[in-house]
Amino acid sequence: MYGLVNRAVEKLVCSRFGEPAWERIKARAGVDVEFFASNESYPDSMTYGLVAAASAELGLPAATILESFGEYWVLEVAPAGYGAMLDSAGRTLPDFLENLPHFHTRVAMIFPNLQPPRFETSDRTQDSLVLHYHSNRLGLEPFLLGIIRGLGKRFQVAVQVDHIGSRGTGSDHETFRITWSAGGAA
Amino acid sequence: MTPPPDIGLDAAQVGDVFPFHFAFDRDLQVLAVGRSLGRMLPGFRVGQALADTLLLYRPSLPLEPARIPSLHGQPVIFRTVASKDWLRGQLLPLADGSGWIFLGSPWFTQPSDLQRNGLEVGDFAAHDTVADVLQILQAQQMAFDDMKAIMQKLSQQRAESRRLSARLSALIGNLRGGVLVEDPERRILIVNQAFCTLFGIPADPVELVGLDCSNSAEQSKHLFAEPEAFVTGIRLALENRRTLTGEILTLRSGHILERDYVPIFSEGSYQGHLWHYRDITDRITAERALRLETSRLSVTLANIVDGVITTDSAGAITLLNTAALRILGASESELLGFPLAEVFRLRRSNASADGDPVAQVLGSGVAWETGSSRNEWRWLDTLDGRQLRVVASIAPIRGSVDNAGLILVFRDVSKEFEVEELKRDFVSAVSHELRTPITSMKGFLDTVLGDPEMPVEVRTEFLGVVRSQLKRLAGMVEKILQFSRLEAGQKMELAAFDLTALAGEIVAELTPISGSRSVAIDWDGPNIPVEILADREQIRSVLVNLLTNAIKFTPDGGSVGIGVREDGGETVVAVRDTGIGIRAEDLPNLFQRFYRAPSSGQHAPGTGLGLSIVKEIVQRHGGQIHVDSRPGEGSTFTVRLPTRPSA
Repeated sequence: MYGLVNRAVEKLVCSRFGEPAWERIKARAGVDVEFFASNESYPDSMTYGLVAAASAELGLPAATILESFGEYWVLEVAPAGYGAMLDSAGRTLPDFLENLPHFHTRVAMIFPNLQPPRFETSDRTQDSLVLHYHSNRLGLEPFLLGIIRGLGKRFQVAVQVDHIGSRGTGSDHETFRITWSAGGAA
Repeated sequence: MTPPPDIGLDAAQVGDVFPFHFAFDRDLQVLAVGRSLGRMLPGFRVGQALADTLLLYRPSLPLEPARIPSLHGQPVIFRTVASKDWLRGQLLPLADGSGWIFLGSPWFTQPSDLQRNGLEVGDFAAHDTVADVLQILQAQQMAFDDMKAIMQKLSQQRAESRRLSARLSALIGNLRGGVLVEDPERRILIVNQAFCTLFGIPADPVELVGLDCSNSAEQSKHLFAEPEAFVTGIRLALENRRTLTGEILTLRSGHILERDYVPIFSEGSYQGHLWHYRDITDRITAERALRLETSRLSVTLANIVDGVITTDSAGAITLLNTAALRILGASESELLGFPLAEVFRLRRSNASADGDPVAQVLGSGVAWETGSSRNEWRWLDTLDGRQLRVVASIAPIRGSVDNAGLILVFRDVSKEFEVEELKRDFVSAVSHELRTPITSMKGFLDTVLGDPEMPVEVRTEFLGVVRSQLKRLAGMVEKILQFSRLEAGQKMELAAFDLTALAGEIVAELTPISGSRSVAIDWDGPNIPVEILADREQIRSVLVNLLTNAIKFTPDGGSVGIGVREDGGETVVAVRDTGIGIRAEDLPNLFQRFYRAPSSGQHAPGTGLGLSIVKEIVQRHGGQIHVDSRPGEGSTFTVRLPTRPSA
C-alpha cells in the first residue's frame, strides 16, 4: 500500500485521538515505522494491521474507521498531497469520477511497484453513473464509500451510493451506482 | 523506412488529438483555435492577428510572414503575451498552401499552472505526456515534502536529544553521588565532580570525557579496604551486564561507599554502563545511632509500668509495650495492626461513654487525657474480661507529615484506687477505734480529777478502766506498727521451736480473757511436740490474732479450739470457734488490709489489719491459710506451714 495511505491513517488518528493513541495502535499492530514515505510501497498487511489495531484500540468497527478515513482522505489528505493536481482532476463530481481511471493508469505507470486499484465508469446519465472498482485487496469498500461521500462534500452535491454488485455475490469486482443532485452534501 | 499509413484524420479528429492546435494564414491572421487552447486563451480568436497573443520564443526571431517557412521541421516555442506561458510543438504548412498549422501543447512545469490557465487534466490529449510529467512533478514534490518533514522531525529529535543531554549532564553534575557513564569500550561519556572527588581525581570532569577507563580499577584499588575485591567486583559486573544496586564498599579511610552498576541497553543492544557511588558513611552512622536509640527506647518502654501504644495515621496499632499487653490482657500478635479504638474503649465511673477519644485525637490533632489525678479514672474493659480503672492520655504524633498517628499512655490505677479506698476506710476506722478508748479514758480521768472526795474503791475501779483502755490502745498501735514493719519488708528471724508449746503458752495467756466471757478454749488433737523452723515472734502473732478473733467473735458460753499437727512435710494449725461466722460474700475480702466485715463492727472493735497481718506472715513463711465458715455456726481457720521453709 502507498505510504501516503498509512501516513493518512496516522494523521487521522493523531488529529482525532492524539499521538499516544497512535503509538498504542502501532504497538498493537506490531508496526515499527517511524515515518511512512509517501511514494513508498508498504505491505498491505501493515495497513490492515493498523486498521484492525485502531478498531480494537478505539472501540470502533473497522468499517466505520475505513469510511471515516475515506472522507478524511478526500477532504484533508489528498488536497495536501496532490494539491493542484487534485484541483485539475475534474470540475464536477462526474468529471472527477471519469478521470479516476486515467489518474490510476498514470500512477501505475509512474510507480510500477504499486498496485493501484483499477476504475471504470459506465452508464453515465444526467445525474448518475456506475463506478466499477477492481482491486485484489479485500475489505476496502468502506474506504471507497468514504471517498465518494468526501467527493460529494468537495463538489458540494448530495451523493447517494448504492452497492449494486460485489465479489461476494459472484461478480469479479465491486460495482457502485452513484447518484448526485445539486444542493450540497448529503 | 516505411511511410506512416494514411490514417485520414478529419478536422474534428485533429482537434481531439491536438486540442491545443492553432492555424494562421500567410498574413499571420488566426484561422482556427483548438478546443483546449481556446479554454486556455479565451481572447485568442479566429481573425485576430497572431502577434496580439503570441510571440515567437524559439527560434528567437521576429514573428514575420517571411520567416515562417524557415521554421518548418524545427521545434518551435511560442510564448503567450499576457501570461508568459509556453506552447511547444511544430509548424506544418496547410495542405491548400493557405497558411500554417501549429501542432503542440502547453509546457507546464508546475501542477498549479493547470489551474492558473483554467485547464484540467482532461483538456490534454491522451497521448500528451504533459499531465504525466506534472504527475511526476507532484510525486517529486511529495517526496520533497516527505524529506522536509523527515528533516524537521530529525531536527526536532536532535534538539530534544541535545536538551535531554544537557539536562542529564546538569542532573548528573549536580548529583551528590559520584556518577561515571562509560561506552562499551569503557571510554568516559559522562563523569561528574562528585566522582572525581570520591576517587581523588584532580581534573575537571569535562576534560575526562573520552578517556579510556579500562585500567581505572587497578589505579583506584589502593583506596579500598579490600582492593582485590573491588577489582573483582568491577570485572564481574562488566562481564555479567546485570544491574547491581546497593553494593557496600569500605574505603581505607573508613568511609563507606554504596555502589550501583547499571548496564545501558537500547533496543537490545549494549550501549555502555553507569557506575554510581554514594558516600553513605553519615547514613550508616545515623542508622547505627538510630538502632541504638530504638533499642534504648524499646528497653525503656518494656520496663515502664505505664502502657504505651502507638498507631499509624489511620489509628491502627503499630507498637505496644509489655505493660500495655499486660493491662489489656492480650498478645502482641493479636493487637498489631488492629484499630486502637476497638480495643481501648473507656467508660466513665457513672457508666456514661467517653466518646471515642482515639478518633477525636486523630481527627482534631488535639491531645486528650482523662485528667491528671488518679481520681479522674475511667473504666476499661480488658480483652480477657477484666474491668480496670485507668488514667490515660492520647497525643498526636507530629512527624514530617501532619498526621503521623498517635501515642496512648495509660496506667492501671485499680490497685492504687483500692489502696486509697482502704486507707480512707482505715483512717476512718482507726480514728474511730482510737477515739473510743481515748474518749472513755478522758471521761473517767475527768471524773476522777474532778471529784477529790471520790471513794478510793471507785477511783481505783475508774483508773482500772483507764488502764484497760490504754492497753487496748497500745494493742491497736502495736498492730499498726507490726503491719507497717511487714509492709516495709521486715526480716524474718528463723529458729527451730516447738509450735505445740508456743500454742500452749498463748492459750494460757488468753484463758483469763476467754474465761471472763465464759468461752472455753479447748485443745484439739494430740498434744505432742511439733518442731518447726520459723520466726517465732511472727508465728506467735499469727496464733494470737486467730485465737483473739475466735474469742472476740464467739458469744458467751461458746467454745474455741486449737490443734497442732504434722501432715506430710507441713505443720497444720487449726483454730475453730462457735462464733457468729462469716458470710460467704465477705470471705474473698477477709484477708485484705483494713477490711472489716460489715457484721463484725457491732461485735468488737478492730483495725481490719489482724487477718491481713496473719496472711502476710503465713505467706512469707511459704504457707497458706484457709477459712471455712457458716454464719451462726462458727469458723475454722487452717494454717499450713512448711516445717522447713525454703530460703
